[in-house]
Amino acid sequence: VTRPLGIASTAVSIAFLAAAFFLERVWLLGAIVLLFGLLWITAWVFSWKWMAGLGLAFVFLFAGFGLFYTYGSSFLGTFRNLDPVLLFGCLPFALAAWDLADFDTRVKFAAARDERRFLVGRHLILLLLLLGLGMALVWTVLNVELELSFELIVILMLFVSWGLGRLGSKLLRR
Amino acid sequence: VKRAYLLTMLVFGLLLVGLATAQARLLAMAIPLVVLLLAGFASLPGSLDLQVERSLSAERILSGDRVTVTLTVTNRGSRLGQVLLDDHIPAGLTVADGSNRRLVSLGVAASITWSYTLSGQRGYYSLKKLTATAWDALGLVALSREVPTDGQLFVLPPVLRLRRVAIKPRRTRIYAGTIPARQGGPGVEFYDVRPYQSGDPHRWINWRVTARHAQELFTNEFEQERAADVGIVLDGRRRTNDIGTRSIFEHSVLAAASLADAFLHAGNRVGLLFYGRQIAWTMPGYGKLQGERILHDLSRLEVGDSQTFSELYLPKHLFPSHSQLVLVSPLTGEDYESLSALRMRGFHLLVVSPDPVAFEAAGLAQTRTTQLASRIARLQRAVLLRRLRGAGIRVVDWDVSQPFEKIAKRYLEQRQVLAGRGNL
Repeated sequence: VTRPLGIASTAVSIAFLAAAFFLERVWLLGAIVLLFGLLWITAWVFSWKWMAGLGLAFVFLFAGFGLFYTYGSSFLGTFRNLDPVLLFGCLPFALAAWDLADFDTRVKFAAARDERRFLVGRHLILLLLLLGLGMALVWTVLNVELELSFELIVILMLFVSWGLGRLGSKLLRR
Repeated sequence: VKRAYLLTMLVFGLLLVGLATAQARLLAMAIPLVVLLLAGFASLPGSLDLQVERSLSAERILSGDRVTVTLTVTNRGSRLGQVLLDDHIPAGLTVADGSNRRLVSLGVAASITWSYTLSGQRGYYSLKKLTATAWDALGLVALSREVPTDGQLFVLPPVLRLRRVAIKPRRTRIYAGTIPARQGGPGVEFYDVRPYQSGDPHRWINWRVTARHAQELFTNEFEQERAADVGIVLDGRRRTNDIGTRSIFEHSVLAAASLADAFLHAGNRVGLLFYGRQIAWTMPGYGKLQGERILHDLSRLEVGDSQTFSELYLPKHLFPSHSQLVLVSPLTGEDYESLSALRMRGFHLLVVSPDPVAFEAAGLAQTRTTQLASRIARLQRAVLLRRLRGAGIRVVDWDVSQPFEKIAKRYLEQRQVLAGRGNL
């Protein structure tokens, strides 16, 4: 069940992202997204393991670019009103596809059918909960109006960098 | 860890770009990634402490047979949500049924047992470790550890049951056997006639000879049959056995195992000498136990090169003088000197030689060049074999496309082969 779910997640994520560009008539980027989506689905068929990470990075890059295109128009000198729901909506599906690609390779070693069903069920529930929680937090953050001063931004950057650096080094040690 | 790095890099990138451009939405994009990272980090297994017990349905199997490996893994550490148990399979063994890998979830003090089936080529295999890899709930970070286990497997070479192998060394042992001892006494084959002695059975009296002597009776003598010392020498030199990417060595091992079995079955004392990378010596002995020893030793042997033993070298002190030596070797042109020297010292030599020329030719495309090369090599070999036979050495030239039973039946079992007929 993990492979069909992964392919479906990939398709939905790419469809959301491409739709965000096509609806605003940004044809070139939409076409690139669609072509990349086809490549990712092909990778599922041929079990190219390296593609999942690339796909996740690609979706985040294009979604980020789409958001920046919409709200950071002063940088680009143009303004497009890409739908943030579609741009944010593609993220959890891309994450699910990325996660399931790896889980699919691991779970095939679960020999007994009941054991496999248990592992898959537990993993899917956990993934659903975490992505749901993540998106709920995104929604909450986007609905809280915060005025960020330059000093606060610098402090936040330093704090986040320190925290993530600690996390990364701890992971590396383990 | 690569997966955790990717998430971390994405989070860093989004935070940097988001903060640099003061875009809250870009910062918000990092939230699902951070949630996954934190969840993965929180569910990392604390320790990977496993105990593994292994049992095999048999520690000795014949090549082609199967053995069932049963593993019981007990978790002595913290709970493991996902742990992949990967039993290390040495090269040469293959999983015939089931899987040597198992992804499981193991609670504290929980255990799991599973089985799979192995088969493999001749060899000695050490099954001594299992790799356990535990992941966090999302597979972001893996902890890996090798867990030692006990286990060994001998895959013995196949043994063909030969009815008998006719040899006639000059020296035999005192025990009864099947080798003609060149001495009169009780036996089957007629040996000589001697004057009658009190106690001789009347049916042994040779009336035809007695009729020619008026005053004396003569009785038949038969040739005694005794056990003999047989030294089997197996050539494991890479340069004689490895032909391109293929090796003829397995055929030599089959012949050596079958001959050892036949000689032991006939009550002889048999030893095995192997020379390849080094010399390996199985001390001579009798019976089934010796057969087991020889099979165990044969299962370990591999071809190899040695500077010291690149020439055919047979340590003579290991074999009693005038005993029977059986060399199993594809032979090279330089081996003639060593073999004829042994013959001159009184050893009886039987050479069973898997034919490397026919073996190599069978694996080559039949072009004019290969046919010509094969013809030249065949002629060189024929000259070598003729020279060896001329030196009084019995040589059985074995084209390995023919089964060894057939060759043995035709050239080794019959006593008349001693007269030098057929392939000898």
